[in-house]
Formats: sequence, structure tokens, C-alpha cells
Amino acid sequence: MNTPTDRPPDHGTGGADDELMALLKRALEREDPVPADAVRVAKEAWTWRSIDAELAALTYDSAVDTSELAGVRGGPATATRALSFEGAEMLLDVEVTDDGERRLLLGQLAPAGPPAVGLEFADGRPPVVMLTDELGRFGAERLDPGLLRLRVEPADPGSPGGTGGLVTAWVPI
Amino acid sequence: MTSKLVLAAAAGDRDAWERLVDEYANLVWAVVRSCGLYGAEASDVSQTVWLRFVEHVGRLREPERAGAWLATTARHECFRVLRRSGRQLAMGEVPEVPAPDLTEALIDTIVAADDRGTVLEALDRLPARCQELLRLMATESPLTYDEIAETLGVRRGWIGPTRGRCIERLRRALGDQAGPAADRPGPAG
Repeated sequence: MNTPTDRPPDHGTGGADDELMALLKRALEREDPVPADAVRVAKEAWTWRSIDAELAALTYDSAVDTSELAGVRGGPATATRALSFEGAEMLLDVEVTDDGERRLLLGQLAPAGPPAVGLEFADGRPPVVMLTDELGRFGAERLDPGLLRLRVEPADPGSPGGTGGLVTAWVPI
Repeated sequence: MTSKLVLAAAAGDRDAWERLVDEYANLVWAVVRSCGLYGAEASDVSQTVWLRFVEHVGRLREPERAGAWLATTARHECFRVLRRSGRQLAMGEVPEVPAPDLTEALIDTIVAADDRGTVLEALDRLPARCQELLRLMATESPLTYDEIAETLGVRRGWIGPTRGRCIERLRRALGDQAGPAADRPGPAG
């Protein structure tokens, strides 16, 4: 039962077991392989790499929140989803409201300063530019669901994010 | 090998990126399918995983473990999708079933099942935890036992015995599908 090697065995712990696993492997390769489309899309992900921009991680997503705050901040049961992204010196808080078919996105970045926030869509839709107000608030309405991320160009080259700006992780809305 | 590709992709080599996709696309797909996702949902999760990977390819602390990174990330993304729609990941132990004696006829049945395309039907009848583990172990993936354990969130020692039990269940499911033509002693199922 214990294999001396570190990797799953190709041969040897039991001929019949290995034969059945080989059968399963052939069946999966024949009937459930990774679709060619998925491979193509994976290769095309290359065009989305952000060379100089800082990556702001998703640090909160109410849709997977398991704490008692879930109901307060908009948990799985509500139509509003709260997201937070953190960069080294910048925070973005975003709320996405689902009206059934489309989405309303409202957000705020801190510190305020950058004049606009961009929305980029993984499905190739043209990006949307949202202007910020003096408090760093921004919004976009009538968005179709899909994978998106936000991009912030710095207010000036010396500000947080440097010359590359900041992009958030991708999120599905 | 993986290390070199990761470092090259991080430096802007698109060809290296595409070779990484070729190397690991099957593994990512196997993990996503192991979570029980299929169709458009599975494709969406696959895309998300690769989009995350392209952001992190230049930041991996252990470039040689890119496969494990991809598998773990795929599982996390599955978790998000399942949680957002109120579904759950498979958990828990797989109890042992008594082993039947393997006869020639049963072995022939198993081999014949390959041609009739019934192996995946039998797999679908196993507990979710078994489907998950067997799919992950049946890929062309270069994951070690430790990496599989990490991806599934289990102890490494869990894998060997559970593999054995799950293969046993698969064998019995195939035998059951073969029906009375399979010569086997003992109670059915």
C-alpha cells in the first residue's frame, strides 16, 4: 500500500489496480480531454499579462464570506456583492449589484487622486473608463456578466503604483 | 524543465508560456472536472486559472512547482464557483468495501469496458471523493503524492489506501455494469 517513490506509481503496487488505472487514463483521454478551445484560451491569456503594473489582490469577496458579517456586507443571499482589492498603497472597494441580467458596479479607491479607473473584460469586450470624483468614487452600469478586472493609472508618475499603475486580480461578476 | 519555462515566460517569452499551457492544460482540466464542474462552468474556471497564472508567473516562489500552483489554484477557483451557487466540494473518508475475487471473466469484462466506453460511466457512480482522486491520479500530470495531497487538502498518507479503495469500487462498478455475464463470487454490489 505504501509506495517507496514520491510519485503515483505507473507500475507495481498491484497489476490489476495499475491495469484499471491505465484503462481509466485512456478513457479520460479519449472521452474527457481538455477541450481545444480551453487550450487556445489559456494560451491567449498571455495577452493579459500586466508587465509593469502592480497586482492588487482580492482580499475580500462577500460571495465566499463565511463570517457573521456576511449578511451585513452583502453575502451570497443578497443581490449585492462586495469586493475589496489591496495594493501596496492603494485600496479599492467595489459593490456589484445584480438586477437579474446585468450588473451595476460602484466603487471607491483610497487614497483618492487618480482621475479614472478602467474596466477590462476577459471576453474581449472593449474596456470601459470610469471617471472618479473628488472622493475617489466611480461607477458603471448595464454591464454584462463575465470576468473583469480594474486598472488604475497613477495620478502622477511618483504616486502609488509608479509608472505602471495598478491592476486588480480577475473576478467574475 | 518547468522551472526553465516559468523563468522564460516571466521574462516575456511567449513560446515558453504556450509550452507551459501544453504541459499543464490537462492537469488544470482534470482538477476542474474533479470538482464536479463541466461544460461552460469548467471552461470559465480553466480560463480564470490561466489568467491568474499569467499574472503570477513572474512571482512564483518555487518555479519548479508550477504544476502544484496550478492545481491548487484550480481547486480554489472551483470552490469559489461552487460556494457562489450554494454547492459543496467533496469531503470525507471513503469506506472500504470487501474485495471480490478477480476471475478471468471479470478481467475480460474490464478490458472490454474500454471498448464500450463504459469506464467513465462507472466512474460517475463512485463517491465524489473517489472520482476526484482517481481523475487526478489518472492524468498525464507530473504531480507528486505530496502535491496531490496539498491540492485535495488531505494528509499524504490518505492517498495510497484511498486510491486502493476507490479502484476497488471502480472495479465493482464495472463488474456491476457487465451484469450476470461476469463470473464473480459473493454478493453483488
